[in-house]
Amino acid sequence: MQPKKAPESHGQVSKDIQDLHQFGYAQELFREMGGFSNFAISFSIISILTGAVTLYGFGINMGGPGVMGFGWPLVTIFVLFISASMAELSSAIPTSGALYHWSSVLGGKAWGWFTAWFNLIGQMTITAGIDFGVASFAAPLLGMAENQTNFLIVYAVILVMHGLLNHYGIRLVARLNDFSAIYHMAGVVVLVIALTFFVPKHDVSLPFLLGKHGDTTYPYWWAFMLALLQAQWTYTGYDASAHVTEETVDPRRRGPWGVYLSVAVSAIFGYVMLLAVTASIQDLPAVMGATNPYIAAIEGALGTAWGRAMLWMVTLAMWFCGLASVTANSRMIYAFARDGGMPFSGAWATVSKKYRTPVNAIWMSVVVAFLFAVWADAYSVITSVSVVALYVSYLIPVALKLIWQAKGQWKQEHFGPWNLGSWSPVVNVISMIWGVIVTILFVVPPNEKAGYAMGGSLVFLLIYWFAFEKNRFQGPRAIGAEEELAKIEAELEKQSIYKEAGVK
Amino acid sequence: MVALGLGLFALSMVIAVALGWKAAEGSKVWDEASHINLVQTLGNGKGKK
Repeated sequence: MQPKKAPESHGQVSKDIQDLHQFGYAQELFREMGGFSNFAISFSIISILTGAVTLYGFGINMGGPGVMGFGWPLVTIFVLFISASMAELSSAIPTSGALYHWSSVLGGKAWGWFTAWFNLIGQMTITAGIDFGVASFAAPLLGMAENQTNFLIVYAVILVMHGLLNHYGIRLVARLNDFSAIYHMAGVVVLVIALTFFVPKHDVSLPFLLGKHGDTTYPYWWAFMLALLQAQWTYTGYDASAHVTEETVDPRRRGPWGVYLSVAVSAIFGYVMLLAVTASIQDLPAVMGATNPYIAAIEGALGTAWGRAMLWMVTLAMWFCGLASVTANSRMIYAFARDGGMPFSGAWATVSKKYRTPVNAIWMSVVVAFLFAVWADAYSVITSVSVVALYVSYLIPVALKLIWQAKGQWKQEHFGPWNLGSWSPVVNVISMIWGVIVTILFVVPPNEKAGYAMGGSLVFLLIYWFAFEKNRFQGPRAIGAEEELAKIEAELEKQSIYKEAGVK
Repeated sequence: MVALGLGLFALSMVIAVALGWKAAEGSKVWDEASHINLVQTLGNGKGKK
């Protein structure tokens, strides 16, 4: 039995729905998320136990142990600025389309369309990266041989599980995300305590940190920069809190805090974990040469049993991460399709009247993620594409907002409650600078395949836009007048399994 | 070198707190009545007014 909502919550939801009507949209999705759930979905997608772990080997082989000590906080500083810039926009325009909608409003329909596609490419590849990561960890745990075929079989099963859960149980998914956030924090605390107290030797000396990096031909400074992919990929997906603002109560405040705090909290737990694991490495060459250097570091420090236990813990964390990723991805597809931005938009914008979830969008995100992983055979390529595509989509609306502000057309009254006031332009500029660096960094060798994928996507999108979409696509559009929106909502409410909750 | 890493991390936390504090201040003084919905000012992606 669900707890009854407090009267003020009912009032807030009604207010939120009126606010959504101002954007011309009906309340089709189920609005119930509180502040913690909104934070938890982004925190689960950032998932320090996914990004920092699956790319631990890449990071340590490129930049050596030093990249864990210096790389993570360096990237954190800039990502905080970017997340704050996005949080402001999320507070001003709290809709599921998020970055796409912000760009459309600030730059026109063309900017919105391109932002949407880059965000979609990033979202789909991040789902692929996460769930393929789960498969590569889970297959050996299940006693299967470590080969591409087995990875793909397990990967498909995991994607289907995430599709089913998102299709039928948004309330359960929200609860699992809440649990996931606590699970991530508790997991890191347990690991750090074990590594601090039960490992005989800790080494953070200069020769250890900077004296050795992998067998790359790059000079150290460049290898270090490339190794930042580990931290930068971990810090993706926090736009999820903005994508679920139409399901969040008091979205103008809780959405942006979700975006911002998911980064800030991940920064702390991620750094503590990376420091503890790296300082506990007993045999650096053995760890660097291992199939899974993260697990090898833990096994070398604490023994095989701990290594196996950690493997299970990390695999489950990644599973939670993939679940949240499908949620965020499907909301973006739904929002873009609702405005007619995709081929066969009508199908992708369909919301299940019974479950109040965008069912076809969910399954589309699952199928495309599977196909992408089959195509991109290198893990660092998948992750590079998702980083670049997502950060391009994050920064287009920030750049457009800066231009409006520079012209004096963005006024203080346009900000939502979460705003940086006079600091805003400076924070935006720093965000842009880092975004450009990241975009260049992760499309050059050894990730040139990501560069080809991004360049190819841009050329394809440009042709597609000018040939078909320029005149057809109208940008974000109002579904109807107030009466029509109310009619849609009443119809959904009648058939929804959530009507007994009495949210409306 | 350890101090440099920890220093960088401390700096990131100072920035995190400062930006969070500024946003909280912004939230306190935000006046809902005078808020202008961007969509109403700039349109909804169908060309700027």
